[in-house]
Amino acid sequence: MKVMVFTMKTCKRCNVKVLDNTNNCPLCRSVLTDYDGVTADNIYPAVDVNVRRYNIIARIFLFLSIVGGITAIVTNYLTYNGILWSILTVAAILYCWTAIIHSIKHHINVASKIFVQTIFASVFVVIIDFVMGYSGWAVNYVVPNLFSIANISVLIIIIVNRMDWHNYALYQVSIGVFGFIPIVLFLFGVIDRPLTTIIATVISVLTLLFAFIFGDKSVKSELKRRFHF
Amino acid sequence: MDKIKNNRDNEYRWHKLDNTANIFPVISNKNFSSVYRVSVRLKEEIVPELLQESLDMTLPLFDCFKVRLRHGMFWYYFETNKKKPLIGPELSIPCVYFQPSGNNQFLFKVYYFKKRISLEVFHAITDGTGALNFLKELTCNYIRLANQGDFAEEHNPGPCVDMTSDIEDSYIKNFKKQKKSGYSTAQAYQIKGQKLPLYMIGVIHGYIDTKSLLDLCRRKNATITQYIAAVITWCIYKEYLNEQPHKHPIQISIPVNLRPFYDSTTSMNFFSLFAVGLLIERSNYTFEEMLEVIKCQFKEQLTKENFSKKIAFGVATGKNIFVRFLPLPIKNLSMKIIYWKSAKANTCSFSNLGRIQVPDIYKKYIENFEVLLTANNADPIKCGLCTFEERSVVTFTSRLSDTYLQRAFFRKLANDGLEIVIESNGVYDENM
Repeated sequence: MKVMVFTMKTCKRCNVKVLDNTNNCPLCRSVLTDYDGVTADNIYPAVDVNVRRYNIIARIFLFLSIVGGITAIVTNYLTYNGILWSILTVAAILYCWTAIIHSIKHHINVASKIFVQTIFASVFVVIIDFVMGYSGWAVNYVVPNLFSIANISVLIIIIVNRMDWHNYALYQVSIGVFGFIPIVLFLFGVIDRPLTTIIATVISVLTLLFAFIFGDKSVKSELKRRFHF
Repeated sequence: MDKIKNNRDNEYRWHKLDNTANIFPVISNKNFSSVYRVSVRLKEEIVPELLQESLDMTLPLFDCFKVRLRHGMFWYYFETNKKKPLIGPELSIPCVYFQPSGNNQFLFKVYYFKKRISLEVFHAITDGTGALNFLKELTCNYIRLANQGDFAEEHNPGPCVDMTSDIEDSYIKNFKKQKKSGYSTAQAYQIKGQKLPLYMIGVIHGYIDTKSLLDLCRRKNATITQYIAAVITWCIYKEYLNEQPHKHPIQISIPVNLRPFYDSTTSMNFFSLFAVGLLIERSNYTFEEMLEVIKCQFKEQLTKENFSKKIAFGVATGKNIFVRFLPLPIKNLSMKIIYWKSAKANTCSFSNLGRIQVPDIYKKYIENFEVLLTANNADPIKCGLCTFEERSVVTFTSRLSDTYLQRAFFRKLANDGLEIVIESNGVYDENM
């Protein structure tokens, strides 16, 4: 093993001594004059240029998505018959990218996945409804049911993993609160068939009540830190 | 339901981010890591097992390092991280971004390479002073473990740094309702040039004898920080402006440790920034002239009143009722926009960590300390200075493939009669 090397080379142009294991001055690239021929130890790990992994699958999907989206828009434009169906294609592609990427990441909380999926799926079905000539099926039936299912799913997860309740508390409360969106839409007259909406609202109220009454200290503390302002 | 009983929340304590820390989780990503490095070079090769052991000894003393970052509805917060931080061999690129799920969710990492121990820290948890305290404690623990023969008599020496775990937002503590002043957003001259390959950072250390550097500064009647800041300004003027007038001023941003001003011992962030520099209006400046201007700016700006105004601005913004209740994603978006609008206000950054003190018994095992500020595409060159005993280390970190500033800087110091020893991380060799 070499001792700390302070036997070094000199750059005559910069008027500095150089410790690096190299023949050129790191400052001006001119050739160094050897002091005594002893080479120094590198003080940094070897430089690695290729740090970004080349992800071929992601690139194929990105390529297909862009080509697919543009093809749909052009075809739709050339053969226009009153329906802007290409909006659906593009929305579906965007939905896949955002929602699916979020769902397959392994470190993300499962309740968070349910929450995000519910929001994205709701927006997506509403877009479908609008493009197909609005008839209200999305807001009347699908969106309230999505929130009911989300609420019940998170509740089941919590009952199964009782000890980890605090990890799901933020999403449980968020889904519970977002579950009131259908009833707000009903109050503004957007929803005209309120049965599913009423069921969804009742489930949301029950979920929130359940969290606030049965949640122990860890759940309360979790909610406190998550909602601190 | 009576099964749902646990007291774990007692263990998972949490605290808010301090007033400046809030910006870092928002603006950071792979290209803008907000991670800096403080290193210590010892005289013997590092033994990884002992380093891990000393890290395990050190961490319990520093609550602010033992955290993971979580997001709430309105703000981020830190929560106790129960996992174990692992040391690792140094990577080829310094100051890489901490992926939220990687590194056992810790926001710091201890690396070793040959004789060097490096501590990389995400700026949200603490500033340079806090990181140096952690590194000093870690190093002293390591030296004791590695040289047990020399320390046999001492049973329990206790922490070697005087401030350890003080979680206090000193910005809020020292906030007074008063005249506020934010940071300047006027555009400064930007150093441009071809960038190094992805994420790569060029490092050039310059070792200088402390006494000759001090003598030189005394002759010029300046402090080391003033002198180095003036040399950097001078070199940018010579090398990048070619001694010609430019419509944007050269601005060197300098962080200041606020603890001495307010008698704070916090282990979280407590720093502020100020900028010195000048608008180049003619082509016959002399270095002495520039040094005088910069000395005056230090006198004007390095005052408690000035920093109190900046604290008042930051804290008042954070306390604003509209800001507080903005949901986190919207807050993040607006913070990003505001940050990037003001990001062009600096030409270069220079940070002087000052003279580093360790207890006398450890001094003979230590060669020197170094600091690496993270360079990024928006702020391509940064400079840091650490002084330990007779060895001062100036470190340039750069994303640029040219080394004009570094070359001019060290040539200028060499011309001033200093003996300079250069060492680099080899990036400039690779890219010939």
